[in-house]
Amino acid sequence: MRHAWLVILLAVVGCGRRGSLYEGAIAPLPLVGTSNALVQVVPATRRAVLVTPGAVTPSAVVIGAGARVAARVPGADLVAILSGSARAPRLELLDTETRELTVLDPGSAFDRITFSPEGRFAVLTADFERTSGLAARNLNEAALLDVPSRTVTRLQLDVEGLAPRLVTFGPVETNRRLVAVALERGVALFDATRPEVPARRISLRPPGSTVENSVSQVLFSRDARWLYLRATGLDDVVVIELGSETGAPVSASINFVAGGTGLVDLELAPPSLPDSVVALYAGTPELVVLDARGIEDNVRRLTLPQVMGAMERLSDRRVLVWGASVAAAWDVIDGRSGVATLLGTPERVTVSPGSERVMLSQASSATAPGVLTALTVSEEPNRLRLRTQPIQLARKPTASAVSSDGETMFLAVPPGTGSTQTALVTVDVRTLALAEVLLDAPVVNLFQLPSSGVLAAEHSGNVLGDVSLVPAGATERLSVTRLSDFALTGDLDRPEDRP
Amino acid sequence: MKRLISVVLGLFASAAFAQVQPFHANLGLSTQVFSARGYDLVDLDDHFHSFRFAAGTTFELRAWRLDLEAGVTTGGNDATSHVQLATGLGLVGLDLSATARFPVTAWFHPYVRVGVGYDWATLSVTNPANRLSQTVGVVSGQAGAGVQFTVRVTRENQRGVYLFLDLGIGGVLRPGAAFTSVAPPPPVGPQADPIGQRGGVNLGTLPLSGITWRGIAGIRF
Repeated sequence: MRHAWLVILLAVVGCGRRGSLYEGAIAPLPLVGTSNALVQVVPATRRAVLVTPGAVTPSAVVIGAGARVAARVPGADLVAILSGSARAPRLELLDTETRELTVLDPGSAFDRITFSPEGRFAVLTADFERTSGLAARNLNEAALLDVPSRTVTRLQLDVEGLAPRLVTFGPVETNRRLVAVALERGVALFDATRPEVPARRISLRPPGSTVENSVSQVLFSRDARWLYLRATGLDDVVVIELGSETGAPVSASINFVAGGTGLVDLELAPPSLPDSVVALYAGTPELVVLDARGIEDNVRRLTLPQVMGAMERLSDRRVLVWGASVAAAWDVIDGRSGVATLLGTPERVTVSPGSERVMLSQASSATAPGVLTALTVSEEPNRLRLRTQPIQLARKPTASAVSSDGETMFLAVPPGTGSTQTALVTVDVRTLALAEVLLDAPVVNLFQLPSSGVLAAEHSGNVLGDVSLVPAGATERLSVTRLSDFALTGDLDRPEDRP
Repeated sequence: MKRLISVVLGLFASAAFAQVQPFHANLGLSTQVFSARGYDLVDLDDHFHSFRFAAGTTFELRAWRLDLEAGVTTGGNDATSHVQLATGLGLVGLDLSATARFPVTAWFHPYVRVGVGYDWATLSVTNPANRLSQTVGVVSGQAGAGVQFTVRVTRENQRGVYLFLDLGIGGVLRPGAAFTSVAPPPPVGPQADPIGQRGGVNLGTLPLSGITWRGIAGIRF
């Protein structure tokens, strides 16, 4: 009896200590946008917080512990989350429409997930730079997710390189879907519709060589007959001719095609040149159309006025290249070209395919006024004419987004020195009509939520999350809804954490 | 109404003639022990301390004394949560309680106590960018037991004035306080160009039921 009273006394007066539930830092993963919601995965609270237009209070779905990667599934209102521990990994698929959560076993602790453009497949790979908590990990292992059937298949790449660097999906074919996984010293190819078939392994390093050539760009031809690789330390384009086998490892014949020096970018050639690739060189400033079969007579060249740093496809037959204050367009079929002088070096380039108009935003320095240049390509008898229409911006844009049809561009532009506000500028790419609305904090990211016609501007400075939801094209601040600190959603309701 | 007033005056008069001390006032410290894990968001050791002031009257029921009192409780605490968030809980409550006290001796009075109340709970979360808060109201029910130590400070031929020390334990029951829209304070004054609306955060429900203990000093006269 005396001891019972002692226990009660201790319970009332002396006991009680804080658990570990609220001692970890809230470190949410970067926001992910689907067509109807923004999703913020919060590993500390084991919640996926859904910010939905029309709801002034975000809601949350309980997910597994240890979330480390979140990515949108293209073409679906799904978010894939890699979570769990190194010994019990999980792959969770959250439907942001129904809020249904599907948990899959990926088989191993992966760090990256790469989806095919249409969202049917995903490849899960490990990151060599990241530690998993395991004493040993086979970085040559990957997994293939078939999204419609919600199945995961483990793959052994079994190549010489350590960990995958790039995953590139080939074009959709009737009877197969090729996937190229680039590693430090080569590439592995497999058919996503038949993951049980072993991967074809292709080494870039010639036998006996000790030179390291890491793959930095992978490009499939439209008919999946060719695979073009750009590798560090190589001026040649690595061309791999792929067989049409199904049900067996794809046959591959490797070739090195020379064009110039200082290879910096690759783009697909027009459909009428199915066996060619466009290469941009910096050492000898030129664009070269290379024949994958090595036929020298088919090579076309355009000498550029200066070194260009990047290339983008304007249309089926034209490419655009740009560098310091200069842009050039080239019609690969008929050889016509044109050059335009810009007011600065483009930092963001947005191509509107329908109108063949390019929006380039640039600034000469961090504090200088920014410029948005609309570049239009028009035809003249013996050349292309590049017409530029500059639009003055108060400051360099801090974020941008483009509508899915490419016809509307959104820019977050700080209005001036000393102001904490940011203007959300809407640009009609065809007419260059402008509309803007002022938001109350700096913007670091823009998301489109097309299902509700809303643009979400993510603000900086608040680790718990801070977004303004703006109807696309709105100019009235009264239409703005601001939601902040939503990473704390559900923080008090933690029944799943009971020991 | 006149009848009601007559009854009340009659009760007080009978108490005075019976030499029972009809009024008392007390001030003290009470602690509520909340062991739910959600409470760890706002505290470090599960103890919520508050001050309580109460006043009431006493009726004699044969060998027992019945104290009826109304009290005000106020308290709060704070903590650092998630490394960088300053969190806090404030509680202001009103309660009515009845205490059945049995004078074993002139100075030793064990008792049992029940009460009902209404509390306003304010949860606040401050991060470097924002201060969020929400106040919600919850009803409460309390029960407990304890002892009072009483000392008479007046002579026998004078009206009795007593000092007492009250030590008790018990429990408090409340529905969880639902903090479903914790938000920054609305802007004050007219706004030149306001935004449409500012949303809140649904943090969930904070359990506020638990064991209580209290130490109170008071005067009865």
